[in-house]
This record gives sequence, structure tokens and C-alpha cells, in this order.
Amino acid sequence: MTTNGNQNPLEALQTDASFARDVAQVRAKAILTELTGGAPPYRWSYTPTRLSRHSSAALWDLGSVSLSNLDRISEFEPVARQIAQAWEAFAKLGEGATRHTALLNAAAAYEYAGYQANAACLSKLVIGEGPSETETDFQQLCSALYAASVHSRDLACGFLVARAAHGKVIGRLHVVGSIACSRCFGVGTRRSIFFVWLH
Amino acid sequence: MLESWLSFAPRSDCPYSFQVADAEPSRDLVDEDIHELKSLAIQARFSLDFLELAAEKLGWDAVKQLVQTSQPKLPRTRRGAFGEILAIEGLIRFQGYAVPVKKFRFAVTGDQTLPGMDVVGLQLGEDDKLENVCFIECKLRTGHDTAAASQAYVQLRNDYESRAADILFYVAARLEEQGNPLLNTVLEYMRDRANTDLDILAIWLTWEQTNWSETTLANVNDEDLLPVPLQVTAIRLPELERLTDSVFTDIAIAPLIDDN
Repeated sequence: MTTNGNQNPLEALQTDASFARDVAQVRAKAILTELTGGAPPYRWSYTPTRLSRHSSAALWDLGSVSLSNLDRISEFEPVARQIAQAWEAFAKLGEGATRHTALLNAAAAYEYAGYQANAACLSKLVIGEGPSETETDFQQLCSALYAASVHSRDLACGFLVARAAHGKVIGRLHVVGSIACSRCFGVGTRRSIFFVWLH
Repeated sequence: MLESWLSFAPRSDCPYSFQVADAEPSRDLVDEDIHELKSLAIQARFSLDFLELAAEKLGWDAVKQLVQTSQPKLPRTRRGAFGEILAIEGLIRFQGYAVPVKKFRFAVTGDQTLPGMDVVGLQLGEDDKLENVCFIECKLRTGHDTAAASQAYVQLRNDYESRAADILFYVAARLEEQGNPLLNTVLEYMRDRANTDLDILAIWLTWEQTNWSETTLANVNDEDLLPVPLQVTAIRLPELERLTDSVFTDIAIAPLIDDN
């Protein structure tokens, strides 16, 4: 999980001015799109596929920190918030990921940044919008779990097991289960997820 | 054996704005080829290590039943699976890619279709340095269909633009579970802020030989192509429908008995 010897990749990203510029651009584009109803034809220099890839890697790295050394997660609050803002902007623009995936990623990153209220609001947004043609029921479920997890992670895991036992979502678990769950429950709950697999 | 059955040749003179490679049988299919294809179909669903372990605990009869029930039953899913199997083997054997995560293994049933692009291939150079990341969509057609390749491109383009980061995360998660050293390679690529252009889009077409038309490729050329290199491979096989059915018929019996 390190680059350049022992440096955590998040440390590098935290001081990367070009990443900050990219995030600022995607946020500006999202805000202008919301205000004017369409993206202004500026020459945006970020590439959605690349920025979403970097933001995805950063989410992975945040998860790794939270699993291996939770005490360190607060060191990365600034970059976690940037990543959350990038995913939130992607959700508004429909770039880089499907809308609900981007919202879930934003919620997870806000959670890592310590902004639980933002995280809860975004996950409730996914629930409120209901499933779409391009989204899966599982993303809805993860949002519900996430919202529940704000109050009790154990409750959330219990809910997942209960739903899985009904067989409604088991098909989706294979596909997005560990991704979504490791995002939503980055803080030491991967064992709980394996519990689902075994049942 | 697959290498001796199929001859693979990149087109040197190509009128399209993407690269094309052709693959056709260089000889008639023999029993050993079918055996190998059946074996590949089994390994598309389960690793041989897993099957051996399962056989130790449950016995070969139970394993054969497991293998048989987990294979696709519907003609449509059988053909889709066969196209993916050929594409994966083609990428590995003819183009030197690694395909460490096989999506088909994560289907709950043989007939389940999973969302997102079909295959992600990693091409490694010297010192295992990542040279290319290939996002692949596969199509198999037994009848005439000149629109299928352009449909594949549109699907691939949409997936690349809206799901690539998610799919890479998924690949990384599976590599972590496997304890696969490629995990760091994938993560480094995802983190790479130098934005090195490693991405390639690829379409693997498996077609009934007699129903192939070059219009299929020309239609791809008419699409709004992304500034990401595109490679199209056209595998043309005779009696494709019969071949697909024979690969998935009695699948658990021959390969497992012969191999063990």
C-alpha cells in the first residue's frame, strides 16, 4: 500500500496540486451545471475516466488505512474530503461512474473524512431515488445499510445477512458485494461481510 | 493445442481507424481440441485447485455434479460464455495478456449474466511493468448480424466511461483475496498521476464463418470512437452453433475423468 518506499500514497495525493486542481474543476463543473442546467463549454483539463480511477484508488487506500491503522485515518481527512467532493460532483454530472455508485463512493469518503452527516444524506439520496435501469438493487441495499450503519454497524451487518438469507440480493453479492461493502464498512467489518458469503 | 487449431494474424493493411486481427482454424477440429475447450469451460467457472480440494472432501462424483450444474444451460448464455472463454484464451496465448480475474467465476448460476465489461486484461513487460490495460467486450454470433460489433463498441465505450474505475476496484478486490502480487501493479496504475496512456479497448468477435461480413467492422468505424486505441479481433469458426453445444454438453464427464 505504499509508493516511493514507505510513503503512503494518500500522503502524496494530499500534497498533489494537480489532483487538487482536477477536483476543483469537476466541482466547479458540477456547480455550474446545476446552476445553468448544462456544463459550460470551457476547456476542462481533467479526464473523468482518469480522475475517477485516481479517486477509486484513493478510496481503496483510505479503506486500507482504516483497516490497518484506524488511528491514522484523521491524518487523511483533507484528501478524504476532496475525494468525497469529487465523487459527489461525478454523481451530479453523470461522469466517471454510474450515479448511485458515485454517490455511494462519496458517502464512503465522507465517512472516512469524518463527515457522517454528509455520508448519511448521500446514502439516503440513493434510497430515495430508487433503482434505475443502470443501477442494481444492491446499491440500494448498500445505501440502506449505510444509513443504518450510522447508528449501528452491527445492525447494518445483521440487516445484510437477513436480506441475503431471503435470497433477494444474493445474486448481486458476488458482483458488487465486497466492493460496496468494503466502501461502506471500511472500518474493520470485512469479516462481517464474509459471514454473508458463507450463509 | 488451441494454438495449433487457431491461427491468429494481425491485419497489416487495415482501412479502419482501429487495429484488426483475424483468427481462423488452420486445421479440422479433433477430439483433443474439444477436450481442451471443455476443460477451459470448466476452468472458467472453477479453479482446478478448488475442484481438487472439493473432490478430496466430497468425492469426484459430487464435483462432477457441481461442475455440470454450474454450466450455462441456455443457448444464449452458452454462446456468450464460449465467446468469453475464447477471448480470454486468445488474449493470454496470442497476445501475451494476463487475465487474473475471470468474471464468469463470480456468476451464481451458469446462466447469470453479470454487468459491466466482459474481461480486463493486463499486459506486463520486462520486470513485470504494466504496459497495457485492456478492457474487452465479447460478442458471439451464429447468424448474420452486421450491427453486433458496433453495439459492442457502444457498450464498451459506455462501460469504459462510467464503470472503468468501479471495475478496476473490483479487480483489485479480487486480487487482494487471491493474494495475487498483481494487486500492487493494478493499484499503482489506478493511482498513477502521470496519466500514462496504458488503456486499450478491445472487441473480440466470435462468428460463424459462413455468416461473416466485413460490414461488421465498417459499422464500428462509423461509431464515435474515443481517443483510446481500439483493437478488434474476429474469430471465424465453421459450425459454431454445433461447436458451442458440444463444448457444454456432458461437460463434467470427459475432462475430469481424463485429467484424474
